[in-house]
Amino acid sequence: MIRASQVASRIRVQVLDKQWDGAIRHVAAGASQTTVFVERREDLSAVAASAEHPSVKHTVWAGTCVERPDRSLIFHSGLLPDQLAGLLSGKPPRDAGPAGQIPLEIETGPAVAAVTGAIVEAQRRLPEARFRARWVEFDQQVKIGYGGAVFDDRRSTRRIRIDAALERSDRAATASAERVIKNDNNYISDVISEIIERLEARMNAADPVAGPTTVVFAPAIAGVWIHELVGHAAEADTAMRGRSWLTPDIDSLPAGLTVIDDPRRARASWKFDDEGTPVRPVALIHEGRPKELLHSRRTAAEWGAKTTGHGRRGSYREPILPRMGCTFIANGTDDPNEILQNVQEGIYVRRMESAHTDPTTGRAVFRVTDADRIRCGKLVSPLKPHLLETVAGKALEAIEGIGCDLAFDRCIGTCHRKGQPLPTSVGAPTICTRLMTVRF
Amino acid sequence: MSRFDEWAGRSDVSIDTIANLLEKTSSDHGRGPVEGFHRSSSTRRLECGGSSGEVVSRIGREQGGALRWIDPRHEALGFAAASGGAAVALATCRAIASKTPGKPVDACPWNIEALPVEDVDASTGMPTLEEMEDWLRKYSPEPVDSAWVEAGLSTETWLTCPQNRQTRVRARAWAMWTPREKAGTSAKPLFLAARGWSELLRLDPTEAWRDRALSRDRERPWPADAKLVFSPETSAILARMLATTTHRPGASLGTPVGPGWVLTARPDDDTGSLFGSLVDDAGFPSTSRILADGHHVTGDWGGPGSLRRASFRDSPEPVPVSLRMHPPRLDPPKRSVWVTRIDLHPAGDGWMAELHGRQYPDGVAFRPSWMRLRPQRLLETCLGGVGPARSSHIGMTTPALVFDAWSFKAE
Repeated sequence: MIRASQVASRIRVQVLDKQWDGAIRHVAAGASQTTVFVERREDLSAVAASAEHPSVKHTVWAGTCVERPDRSLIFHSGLLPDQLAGLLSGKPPRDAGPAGQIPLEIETGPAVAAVTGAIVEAQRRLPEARFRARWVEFDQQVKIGYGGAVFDDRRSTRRIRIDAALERSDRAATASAERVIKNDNNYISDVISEIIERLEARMNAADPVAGPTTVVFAPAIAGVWIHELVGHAAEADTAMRGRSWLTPDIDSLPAGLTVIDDPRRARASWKFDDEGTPVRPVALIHEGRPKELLHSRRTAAEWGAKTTGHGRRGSYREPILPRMGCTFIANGTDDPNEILQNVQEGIYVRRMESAHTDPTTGRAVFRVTDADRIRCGKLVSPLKPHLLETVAGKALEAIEGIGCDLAFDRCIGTCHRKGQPLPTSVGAPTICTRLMTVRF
Repeated sequence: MSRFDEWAGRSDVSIDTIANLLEKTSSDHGRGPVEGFHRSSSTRRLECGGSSGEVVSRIGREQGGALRWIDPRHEALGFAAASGGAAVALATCRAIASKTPGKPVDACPWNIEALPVEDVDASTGMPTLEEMEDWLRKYSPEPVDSAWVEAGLSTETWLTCPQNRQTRVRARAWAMWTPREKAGTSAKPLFLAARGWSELLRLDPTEAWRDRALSRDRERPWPADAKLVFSPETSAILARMLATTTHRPGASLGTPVGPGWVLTARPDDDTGSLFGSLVDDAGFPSTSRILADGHHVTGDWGGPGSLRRASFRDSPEPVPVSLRMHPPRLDPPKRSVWVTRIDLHPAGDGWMAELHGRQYPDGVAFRPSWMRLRPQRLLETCLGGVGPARSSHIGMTTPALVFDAWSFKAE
């Protein structure tokens, strides 16, 4: 059994020191409307397929960028505070500093202990299966200078994922499960229990029937759907170019549908975005009507809207984009069991990931990796992996049930937009919609 | 030359200094051998987007180093990377390595001795922002949703077992356009890549625009039982996916293939191919291989010489690069579909593919259609090629590939 004490939280210390504050203020004072962004980021990945041979990848980077009022960007890795003015003016900076090392915040030991412990535990419980455990952790500290002020923020998260494969005579199955690690007790035991249960069940997976179908999403899973369909369409730069299906005049969505993005609830939450704007929750759809967009400072000014604090960059090398933090469907009033019982034929989706999204048309394709067939209101058999195609307007209009069991982060992913990765969260209650298409 | 140009092109430490630091890191490590790597790169990008046609620049410099080590059974990998000049980056990597459990015994899985290589691109000139803007405006379709062009120059130095020291200077140029389609229609970006700015100037993306324009207004159902001719752009996507699957390390040699499936890996082609290099991203000598001869699968693309890093923050992994299709040339089939777009999604033992196409060569466009594609079936039905071979940004050079009629249900 893996105990929480093995991955006990650590007290974080400030790694970007106060010298930066003076340098940033100095630059900002001489260049109005200019944003200074300083980042120090650390990533750790520990992977084990056997208890004896874990692999570890541990990286740390530091960098700075200056974004001018005309949106031009100048960036440089590993600068020291006294080189910041040179970056803005184009003067050659000296080498990035004397020999030394960038301070390390993340410890490797707990991650390695967690993945090797998970493998030992999983193999003890189902010796004939093959398991792979992966721990992913990141810690980012940023300083943002704008308008004479300096804003500090820190984003960090840890998660574990276990994949399993099982072959028995002429049958085979795979299953995956994951958790965001907070201060849970026995979280790895829970993940292992979940994955073994699904692995056994999926040994009897059947072919899905291609074509139109009714879909019930398990708690949290419709968050993936809504992230792709609504969230990307509500990113203001897309909407402002007229490339979003989600227009303000849409009035055919169910009145019970409310979609919110609140980065403060994200697994890697932020208080200030990467322009120093305080974050606030935004209702993208409120009771069936499109309401607000996700804004960076620039898009808010051009749109004449309030800032929302959603301007993020994948790293100091990238420009600001409006991005999602934690997108979720608000709780409805329907009983999740009744939602399922009302479906005569359909599929119950337990895990899926995005394969393709087009916010202009609202069309999206998802890879469903774990689902069950629904017949006469009951789950009757697991289904082989397949694709699910959906068109936003039609599928959202066809929502027939919104449960009261809102959950988060059961399918954890990284959102990639214009080549910029960002850890995001999603959430949803049990949701039923009629108009989706199975491709198999 | 602007003041930025002055410092962006200036190297703060010499390659010799970096190599010496790598050597010292390896010998001082005390926990066993390591593979060391350092990269310094300068990039500049011009982006234009939206109806305003606003042009925005992004310029900068990045440096970073990495260490890699391997356990006694070559089953587990340790990897550390840090940004900064060589001294800071390698010191940080050493600190990471010293805290990682397990004692490494090797820096790499292949104990290959290689002569020192200094592999420097012939043309390493960087364009001015003005030159980049002129080029972007000349080749951007109207209207464009977004477009960018980027030029980069990188200097890489590494030290592998047993103390092989290699250096490489590479120029790259990339461009991307997302054309503005009519309302409610999706647009797929078009990429172009070349070995440096001067090579990019030789390329002309206008033919791809013509193909895109002819494939709009699709109404007719996809015809059954027609031969398929994939455009060079879509052939590259399909052939690379097939090569990745069929010729992966440990591939089944002798698997039958169609007469058109003639494939070589040319990672050692250093004469202008996008990813060609005398050594791979771990410092091992690159070598050519014949992967298929039109009858059978004859080889795989893995092993030393095939390792590539996505960035200095990533450990080198075997990947297929510099692949070339050499199919027998055919006359364009009379009754065929010209496939102009393919979206592949992994599904079971193959892919679900969404195909866009039109009657070959300039006929009506068909409604997009879904198909289930199985690698073996694709290999066996590859008949040959049509037209000149083209290089793509994903490292595949191929003409338009012709496939026999597939059995599928059109939707």
